[in-house]
Amino acid sequence: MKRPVLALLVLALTVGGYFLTRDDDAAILTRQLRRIETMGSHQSGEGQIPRQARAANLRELFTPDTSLLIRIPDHGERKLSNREELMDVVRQVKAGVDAMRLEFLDPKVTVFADRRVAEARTTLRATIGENANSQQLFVELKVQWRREDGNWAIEGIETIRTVGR
Amino acid sequence: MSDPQSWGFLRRFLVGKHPGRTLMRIVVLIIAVVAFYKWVAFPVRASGDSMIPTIQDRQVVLAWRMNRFSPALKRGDLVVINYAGERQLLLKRILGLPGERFAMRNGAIFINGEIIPEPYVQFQAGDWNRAEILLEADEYFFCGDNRSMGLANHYATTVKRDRIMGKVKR
Repeated sequence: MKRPVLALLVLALTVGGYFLTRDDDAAILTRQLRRIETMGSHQSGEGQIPRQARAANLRELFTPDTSLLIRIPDHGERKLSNREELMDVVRQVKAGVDAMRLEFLDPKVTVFADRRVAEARTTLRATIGENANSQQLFVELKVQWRREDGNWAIEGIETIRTVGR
Repeated sequence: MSDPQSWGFLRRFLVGKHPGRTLMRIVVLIIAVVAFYKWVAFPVRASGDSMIPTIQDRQVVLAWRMNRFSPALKRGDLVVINYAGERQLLLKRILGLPGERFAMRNGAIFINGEIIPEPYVQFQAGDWNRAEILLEADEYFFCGDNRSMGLANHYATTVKRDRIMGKVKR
């Protein structure tokens, strides 16, 4: 009686341990989104040097030819066609926006069969400002990755049009 | 509270005579509630004045989930639209149906060139205008009931069927 129980316990621990410690591609990409949240967010009292320094680390997460197409209802459309343009915008936002918090909610990451490209669907919640004066913006995003030299980097981010034409 | 008799009553009150059965009932109840919200209906709290007077700001309504067995949407149905990954929803009224020609002139709705009655609109707008569009096979036109707001501050546009999450019965 004891042996089957022990065997089941060992099996449960093995399976649980595998799921807790596995480092598959989807987990790596989800962690990249969490890093973007950290690097892209800043608080009101934070100085320009630390916020710019942290944002500069975003560069390594994007391919040189990365493209961004952001459509925000009532705010128009912005298209960026390479990493340098993106970093310019990031620097401007960091300098001009008092406080900002980025959150990627409910990311669903799909790694394609060849394990060279991957895609995530997620909702970006951007909170601009702090406390009572803050404004929240929600957009649904498609994030695409490409694997080069064993490393994943984002090659495109696009907002998904959910209403209207 | 240190009286053993009162502890006994409290214990009996909280877990019942048969704790195992009570636990089982709680588990079944939790599963039933989660399943109900996931597959049958879900609560939505309105935020804003765009559906006044039908639905007030901060009013909570129950939306019945749309699925393959749901009846077809009709003009005038109140629906919940998935605007951004189920994190931000829109609560609006369906005005235009697939295949129809939809237009808005001075706040009045024209379907296939004819004006339609809208008894639910009590705050009419004079300057809401939209050029006529032909709705696609799976496309609906939605709008709020409070037309006293500026059109620019209002979601009044098209949506595909797969973005409509639920229907609110009034």
